Amino acid sequence: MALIPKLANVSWITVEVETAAGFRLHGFLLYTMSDHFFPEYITVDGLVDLEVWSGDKFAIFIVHSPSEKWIEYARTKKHVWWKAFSSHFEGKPEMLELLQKYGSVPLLQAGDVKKTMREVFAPPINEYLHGDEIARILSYFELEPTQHPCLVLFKNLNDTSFWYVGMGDMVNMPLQDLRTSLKSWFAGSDFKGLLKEAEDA
Amino acid sequence: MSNQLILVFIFGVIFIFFLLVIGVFILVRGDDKPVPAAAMFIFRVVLALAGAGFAAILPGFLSLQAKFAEVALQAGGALAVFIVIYRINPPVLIERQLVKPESPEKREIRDGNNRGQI
Repeated sequence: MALIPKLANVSWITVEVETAAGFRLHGFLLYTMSDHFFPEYITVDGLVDLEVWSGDKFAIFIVHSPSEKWIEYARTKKHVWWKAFSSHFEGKPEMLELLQKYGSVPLLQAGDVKKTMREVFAPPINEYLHGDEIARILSYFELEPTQHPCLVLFKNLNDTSFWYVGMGDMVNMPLQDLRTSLKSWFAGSDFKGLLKEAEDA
Repeated sequence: MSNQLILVFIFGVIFIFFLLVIGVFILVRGDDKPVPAAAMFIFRVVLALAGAGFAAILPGFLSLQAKFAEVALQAGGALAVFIVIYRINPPVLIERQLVKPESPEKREIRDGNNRGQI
């Protein structure tokens, strides 16, 4: 699994991931910040779940600001995400260590507003930029801008064929139901069939 | 109508009322955590007993089995209701209604040469 802090990185990370890790199938989980409760789920438990459910043959890409916990996990495990992003990541190891220790300490003050170190160094992604990036990926696959949330799966980013899994009906599902539903899908025949088809191709 | 029947009916109504209150509370509590399986089991047993007690006094229910002796008829009817309610497994029913991702749909990019970069 990989999180993409900036979409300009997608092309090169895909190449690196394919050659380095030998994934058979790749996919984007696409949602905007208003597709409740997808972003909320990813922020809370989703990363851990997808990391486990996606397995070692499927690389799933998510456009989401990585949490410090994720970065630390990826760094410790020498995760493919870390290998791909560490040299481009804005936070150097020393900076990450500083953030861990002093992230909650107010660093700047403008009038009555105080900003912590973590807020000052947060990736420059807000819901508008996030929406733009989702729209670009949808457009790349010739999908309508409204066809989210969804999963787009492909063997190679340059292939002209891909699989589309719509998730429009899952918007506003309670977090626990959303998790159960995604878990069932990753454990089910649809996902296994796609993996097998990608392997056989 | 015997005192025993009236008591069974009253207890049945009280239990059903309390289960209704608990059910509404669970729905409106705003907590996504599922109800523990052990609690669901207790609810099922109590609801089945309460339903059986409630059903024991229903006139339509009694007249349905009018060919048999009255005592055996009431016991048999309540037991049947108990079994029917207990056999209904709400978690399974809820899971079946859970919205799932659509089936994968294979698509082709028509203008592959002119698509942009991501």
